[in-house]
Amino acid sequence: MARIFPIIETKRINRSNLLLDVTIRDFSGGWNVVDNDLNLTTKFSKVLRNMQRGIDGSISIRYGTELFADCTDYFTKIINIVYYNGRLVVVGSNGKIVTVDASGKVAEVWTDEWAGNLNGNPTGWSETVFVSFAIFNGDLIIVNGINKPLIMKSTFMVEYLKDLFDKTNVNTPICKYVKAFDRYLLMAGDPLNPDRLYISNTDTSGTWLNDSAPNNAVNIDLGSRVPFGDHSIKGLGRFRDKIIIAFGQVLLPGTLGIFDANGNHTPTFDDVIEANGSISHRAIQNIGEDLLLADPSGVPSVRRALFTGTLKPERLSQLVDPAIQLSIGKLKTIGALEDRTFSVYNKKIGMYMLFVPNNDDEASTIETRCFAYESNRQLKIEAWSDYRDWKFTCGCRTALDHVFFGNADGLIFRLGDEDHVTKRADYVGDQETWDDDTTFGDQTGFNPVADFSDSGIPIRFAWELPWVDNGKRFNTKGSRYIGLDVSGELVHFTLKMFVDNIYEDMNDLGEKWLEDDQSFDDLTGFEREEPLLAPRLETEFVGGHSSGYGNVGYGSQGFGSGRPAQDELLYAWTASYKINKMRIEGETLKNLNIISLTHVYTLGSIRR
Amino acid sequence: MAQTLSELTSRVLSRISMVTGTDTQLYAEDRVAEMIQHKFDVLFDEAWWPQFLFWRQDTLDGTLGVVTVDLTNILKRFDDVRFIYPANSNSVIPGLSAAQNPYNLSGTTPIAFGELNDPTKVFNIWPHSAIGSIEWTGRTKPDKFNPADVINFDEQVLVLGAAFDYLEDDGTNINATQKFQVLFESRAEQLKNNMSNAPTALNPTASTQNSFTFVGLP
Repeated sequence: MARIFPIIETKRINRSNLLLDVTIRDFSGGWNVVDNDLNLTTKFSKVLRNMQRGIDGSISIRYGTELFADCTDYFTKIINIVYYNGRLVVVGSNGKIVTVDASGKVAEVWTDEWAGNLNGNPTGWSETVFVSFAIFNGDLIIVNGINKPLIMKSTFMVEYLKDLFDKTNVNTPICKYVKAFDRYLLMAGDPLNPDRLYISNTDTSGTWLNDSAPNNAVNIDLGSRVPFGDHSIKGLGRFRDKIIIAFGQVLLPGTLGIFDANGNHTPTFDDVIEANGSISHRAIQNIGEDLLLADPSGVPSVRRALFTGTLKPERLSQLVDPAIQLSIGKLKTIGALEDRTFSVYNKKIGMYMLFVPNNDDEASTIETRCFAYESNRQLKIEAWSDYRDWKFTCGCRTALDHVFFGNADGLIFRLGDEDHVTKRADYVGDQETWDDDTTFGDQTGFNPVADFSDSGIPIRFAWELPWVDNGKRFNTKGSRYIGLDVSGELVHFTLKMFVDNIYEDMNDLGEKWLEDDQSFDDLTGFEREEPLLAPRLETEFVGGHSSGYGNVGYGSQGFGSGRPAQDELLYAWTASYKINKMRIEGETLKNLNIISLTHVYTLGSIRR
Repeated sequence: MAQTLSELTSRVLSRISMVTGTDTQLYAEDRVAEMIQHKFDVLFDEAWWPQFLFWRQDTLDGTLGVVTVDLTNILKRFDDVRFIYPANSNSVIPGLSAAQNPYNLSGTTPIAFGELNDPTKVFNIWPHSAIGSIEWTGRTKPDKFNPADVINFDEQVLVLGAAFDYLEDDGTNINATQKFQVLFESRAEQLKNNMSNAPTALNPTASTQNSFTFVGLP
């Protein structure tokens, strides 16, 4: 019998007979928007939205947030929050202060009425847009730059900070920034003297210049020491034995505790770090060996030089500077920069989190984008992530390193972590989705929730690799199969592959009008916030130990729970390409870890 | 025995270690289905498989040389006509020679048949003036299969052939590819050999005497 397929001997084969494969499993680089993704290794991610490089090396969904306390009975907007003596101390925009205990119970500790009971019957705080805190000698000092500072004792009793001998706060400065450092309480951000640093008397928080002796308090005007840029102090930080005075473009390291022959305190500021500054007092975080800040160009840090011991600046955000600059560039007012940007250091995962609102106008703000920098020198982790869809006004870390956020609706949320596992969902307990698991366009849900356990808003995540040429830039490749190593829970996600620089959908005419699905006369719509993409291949998978379409119980009816991503059987993934780019995206209420991605392909000729 | 195209597709995917299930393989199921269809089409023309054969008696129209019934769903290609006989005859009507002028044929007896560009008739009888009926055999080729269609053919040969085809495109190791090719062709040959195993009559008359009439001599 003649062979039905006698082609083996005669056909022209323009490719290797053997399949090749590549496994991508090093994701240590994190988010990188600087390098051209045609010339970038796969350890970096061009998009890393609401995902992070986990300590185990995988790419995982960020933690979600869960409602912890409701302060709406006392104020609407939370200005700032701090952990103090087992409670959260929360300052509202109306100047009231409450504490929140471990059970989420809210107690009012500072109002006009409380203030009126003090000696002299003062009034409380007025409308407040900015607050900073410092813990000094066991007391919590609270300043807002408008009213006289407050002191909260460990009993949570609040009163105005005053000189204990004179029993007056007439000499206590009114400042926006406060910092405790080396037996002194420091304040800055005086609206009338923006370059002035106020240093208290040694070991006392309420004794300031011109209060009764003994008193070595001193005020120093630092403006003349600023060689470049605005001479207004933007924030105070501390690093080892140095106080760091941050200006817009300059950092002034200083040394306190130096006295002259007359016993006068004569702090020294004999060093200047130029081209590094801070946009906000609340952007400054001390994380031990580093002091992290945020300026309009990105995130600088200060660390001690190994041999000389001098302070040296370093820019940690080179890989994401354009994204940070874009976000900060949207804020045109000093107030938005100084008052509404903030940071939190999440010690549990070694992450500096810089929050930047997306609009000058608070009412128009729909997101405070978080630029998250994960650093662990021992594990060689230095990676950025892009946390989206959050809208917070402040945050803090507790003694047990739990992280809490406050928002403009008077609510406090707790960030998930390993020992308090929340769903990988946001606003659990406060908002929920529609029956079909969809949300409003700004990724918020409706409330109140019917059932705490079923509540929460899915986290939208996306991870995108650079373009890949499989080591043979000029050859055509035949994509054959795709494989994923994933762990976690039953999370549906979509894997997309783009080919040959075809990324955006060039035929997209824009977004139609929301209300009536209409376009402009020329048939074009609004420009999309994010472009419509044009993947060559696209398939939905499901992570975790899940059943698939073909499993018993689902048969061939197509009603299964999805394609199990970690099945060792093959998934066809067929396309021709010279370069390809992989992207994973989806929405989830649960965890997903992507451990590796394996692509099987053949190598062909140079002709596409 | 016979399976649907969807079931055969799953068997092919399973045979080459791919995840199975309806709509699971977005970028393989259509290709595998097309490969199964190709194997069927090739094998269909390879032999006169009995499950697709038919015998019919049809009347000629006497003017155009065509049968009076619509053959659209019975005979889809001219090549599927096997033998045509005049009524009550064991002599096959031959096909019209390419060099033969059919208009020189005349009379009312079927002499030859040829292809006709009409999907409802497919062939015609020369001379067109032939009358009476014809008895003929042929095969009906199934339409292109849909996923739920049962394919009345040996499933092993289709699965093995499609698996070979897919692996050949893959560039998977060549031994596995050749294994499936050998398995496929061996199975196809086996099926054709099986067709020859039944006893075959050696003349056009009946081989077995069923009855006879005895007429006594005067």
